[in-house]
Amino acid sequence: MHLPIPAFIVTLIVYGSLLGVGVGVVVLLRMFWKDWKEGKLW
Amino acid sequence: MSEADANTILNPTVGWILLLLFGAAWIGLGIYWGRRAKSFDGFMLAGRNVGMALGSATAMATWVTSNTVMLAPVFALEKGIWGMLAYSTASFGLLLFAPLSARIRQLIPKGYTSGDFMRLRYGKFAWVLFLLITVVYSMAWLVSMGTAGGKLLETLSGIPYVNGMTMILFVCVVYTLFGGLYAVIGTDFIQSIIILIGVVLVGALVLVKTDMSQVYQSMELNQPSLINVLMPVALLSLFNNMFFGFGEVFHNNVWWSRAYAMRKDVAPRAFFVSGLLWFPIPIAAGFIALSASALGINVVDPNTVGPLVASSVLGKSGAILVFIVVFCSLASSIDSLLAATSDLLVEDVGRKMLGVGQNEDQLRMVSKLVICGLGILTWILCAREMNLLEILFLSGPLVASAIWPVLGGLYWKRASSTGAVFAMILGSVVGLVAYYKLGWYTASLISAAISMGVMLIFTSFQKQDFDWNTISNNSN
Repeated sequence: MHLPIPAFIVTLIVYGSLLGVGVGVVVLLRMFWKDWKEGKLW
Repeated sequence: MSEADANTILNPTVGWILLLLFGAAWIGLGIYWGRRAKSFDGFMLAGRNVGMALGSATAMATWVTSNTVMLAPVFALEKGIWGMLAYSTASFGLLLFAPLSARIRQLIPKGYTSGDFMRLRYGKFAWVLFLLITVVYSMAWLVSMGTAGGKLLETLSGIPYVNGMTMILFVCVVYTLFGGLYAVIGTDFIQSIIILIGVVLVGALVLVKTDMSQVYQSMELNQPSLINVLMPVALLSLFNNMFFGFGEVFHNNVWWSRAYAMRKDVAPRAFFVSGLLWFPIPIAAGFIALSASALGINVVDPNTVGPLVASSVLGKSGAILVFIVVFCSLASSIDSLLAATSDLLVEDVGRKMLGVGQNEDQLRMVSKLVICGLGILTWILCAREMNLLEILFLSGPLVASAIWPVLGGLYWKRASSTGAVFAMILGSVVGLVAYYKLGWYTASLISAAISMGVMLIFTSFQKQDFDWNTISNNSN
């Protein structure tokens, strides 16, 4: 039986994942900045 | 330019320049951060004081292997949407390791390796069996990374296989040797930022050149199975990949050493964040393979579909970007494996089993020798170009059989040594049979199920109550 995944779900998955990875960069850099300022990197 | 060079995506000179540039940077940074490693604890566990940013980045970067950026597009190409999602389920291992890391630090605050826990919780026989499983798996992973690295650099830039593989291993061995876990974690942070930016850039630029409705229509017309909700093989591989991920993360010293290296309050949060950060990466790296058909790209070798699409759409700059991302992915995993596997061999086999190295200086010296030895052994196995990827997949059921013994050992007072041993043996054996008789996509799943059943049966019949204090009392 062929039951296709709707196009908007596929688009949502792809754009969502790219957004997720982009947010990841920001999150890591923000955490780094915070830890560095507080002297808690290591 | 030779014929071989003409077939590659990048010029070998560009490849060598990138390799030398990044190799020098990792070695320089590794030596710089490695100056912090004044004690054996510092060398082995980065002083047990790693913060949130470095902790999250190192957990995430280690889990981003060359497979994540190269194999995820293959999964998408062959198994469609479910294939991409299947790869992403490996992040659940990191997410679930978050509470486990808190429990590990509670039970064995000054531990060194995953082997420490197995020895103190289940005794010698289960410990030795566990060490066998984890060392076989770690070596297979290490060699598969070296082999994949050499082949990828050859495909991307025409650098001969042995030269590229040797260079990658040499760089990773040198900076791990000088800086221990400090160097590994420090470089992992920069590598993770580069990987994430690279994946977003390639994905976004591919989307600029094509659009998703066009990609969807092309799949609907040419390969409707790729968007089918009910694709049995892809669905099975989704669960199989998830359980492989659980087994790998729960048992391997790569993750346990990080749990010990991070500050106590940081470890669970860092593992959770790393799992969230990791989840979208295989999808973002994999979806570009789905665009191949819409863009009219003829995929001859599915294993290189990612770089092929990137370079077709983005030209040389896309190929350079992929080269850098692949090199960072390789380095971030190889360095972690070198450090964690040497910890396991020095601490469990050397110190606890053979009584080698009774003071800090001796232990550090032994540790460095083991890192060099591992590097040389990996090089020899890589040079033979053995099909280690199959061995890596074969080790799936082995590591999946360790899921329940580890979980049971951490949380169930009634989990027994006999149960753990039988769970690992029966889970591995039945999983391997399933691998050959049913297919790779069932092996880890079946191994984990058998292992769980055995643990439950032994826990029901053996009415022992384990005293948790035994672990912390005997851990030093």
